[in-house]
Amino acid sequence: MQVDGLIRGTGLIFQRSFKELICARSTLLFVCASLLYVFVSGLVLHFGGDREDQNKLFSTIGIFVFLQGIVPLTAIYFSISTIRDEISQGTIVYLIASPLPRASLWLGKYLAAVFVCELILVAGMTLAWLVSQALAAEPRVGGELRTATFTTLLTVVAIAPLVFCAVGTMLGILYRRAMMLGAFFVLGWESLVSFTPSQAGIRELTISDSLRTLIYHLSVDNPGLRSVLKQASMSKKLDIPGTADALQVLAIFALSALAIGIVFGGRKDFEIATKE
Amino acid sequence: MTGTVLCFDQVSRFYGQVLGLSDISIDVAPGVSGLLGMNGAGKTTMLRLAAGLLSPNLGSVTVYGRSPRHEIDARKMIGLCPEIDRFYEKMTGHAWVAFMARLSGLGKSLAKSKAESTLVAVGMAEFMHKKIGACSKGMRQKIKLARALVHDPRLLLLDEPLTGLDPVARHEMVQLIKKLGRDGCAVLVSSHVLSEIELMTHELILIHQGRLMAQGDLTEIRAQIRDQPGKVELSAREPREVAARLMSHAVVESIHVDDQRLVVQYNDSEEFFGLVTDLGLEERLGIETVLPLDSGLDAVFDYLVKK
Repeated sequence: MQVDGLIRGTGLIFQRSFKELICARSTLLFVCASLLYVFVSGLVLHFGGDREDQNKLFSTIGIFVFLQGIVPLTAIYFSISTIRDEISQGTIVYLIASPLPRASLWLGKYLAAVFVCELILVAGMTLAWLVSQALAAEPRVGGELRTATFTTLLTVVAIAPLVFCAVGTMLGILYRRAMMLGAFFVLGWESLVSFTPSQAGIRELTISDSLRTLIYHLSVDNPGLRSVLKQASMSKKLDIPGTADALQVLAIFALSALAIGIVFGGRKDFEIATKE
Repeated sequence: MTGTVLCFDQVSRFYGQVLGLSDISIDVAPGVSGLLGMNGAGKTTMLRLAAGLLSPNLGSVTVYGRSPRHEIDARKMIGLCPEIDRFYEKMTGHAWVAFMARLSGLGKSLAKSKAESTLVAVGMAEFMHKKIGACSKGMRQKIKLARALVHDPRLLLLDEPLTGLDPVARHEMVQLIKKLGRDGCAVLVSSHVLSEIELMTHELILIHQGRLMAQGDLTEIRAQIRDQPGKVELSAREPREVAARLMSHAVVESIHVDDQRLVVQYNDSEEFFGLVTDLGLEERLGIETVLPLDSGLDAVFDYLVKK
């Protein structure tokens, strides 16, 4: 009975939140941000593609502009806003007063944020690939962008929202100033800590480091990129962690954030202002 | 009215250091009950506790013996119409009520048909497919009520339901609430406007500064206030003689004579009204009207708050 309610409730909340997010004005902003990758990769390949390996260029931009910046910001924004908007507008009253397990509310919102992010980010990534492919094929550039470069990045870009949205969902449930904390998490913790020397060990506590590790292991035929990632680890002595380790870290991040959000969100009393 | 639908058992609720409710114990039975108190008295907190939106710090809240905060089956029996005027503005009233019906466990087609019939019942037949953002305050209030009613709840919690309604809509809403009460639904309706509650019910719960001041029928509550003198206005052809006759009895505490009118304060209603009946039989005195000044809700509330 409880499981039925959980599945039904998650589905209903997902549908509603997905529609709400897709129709939100801010979605357009993140679509534009996603197009930034198309623009930057196109520009770099057009002017530098004849001197450097296009696969290395495309994926390096993909990692440091898209995966490190646009992907986490988009995921954190959507996962937090879908919850905080409901709370600040007061409409959450109707949802938590309904006869559904509260977990279905958070799971539905989480899945809606993940799906919207996947749509925007995968579309942006694909468009960037198509534009870069066309530019790389120009006689002046004369290079070849391998499909494997694209699929590697696409795989990791598809995994990333699952983890970042879980963190965003947790922050959205627990904190009133979740958006500020989310921005700090992405721009502070993720951006700074994930680039500390790997000897310090602390960088393994970031999502970005594990995502880069996945790309490293999936890019066997992209030696240029592997050398860039190896340099980024700032460690000549230590090996980059394995694929299983990276996936484990990502799973721990996603599941623990969701579990914390669901447990505390189930107990929390949401104070809703009665006055307009 | 038989059976307890909603039960508060020694419930206290704090907001940090601030006391929201203190040691409230009440039972709500089928029919309309008015929850009355000034702004900030704790009415909304009580309704939120009853709906399972909040949990009490002390005591327990149950609906048919189950906790609305923790049991889904309890929440299925509750229809909440909160004070806040917030919706998914881009949805139509029908789509929103149907969505809420689905959240309450109704299937897709049943939710749509129930949403339609409920919106018709609250007088929104004509505007149910209008976007909520374009609806007037009265329409929005009716949509909220339809949302609360769509799954046939056995306990209806209405927080200030008449706020912002025009006189016609107000009258319709009052009639609808009374009908729901007559049909066996337990309706707990809050307001800080005394006359609003008087229109709907005489069954009252009075709270002030988070504390329960009285519960029961209005006249019973009035009768319980023994340390406050009653007050009536009499009109008579011979007011001074009536005043003189009344003053000779210990039951009368004070009399103020103004033209043909007398305002009398008394301390025992049974004895006083017996006395007035006797005087009324004397044609010479010409007692024409006897108007109680303090059996209304306003007066009772004033007494209780001052006490």
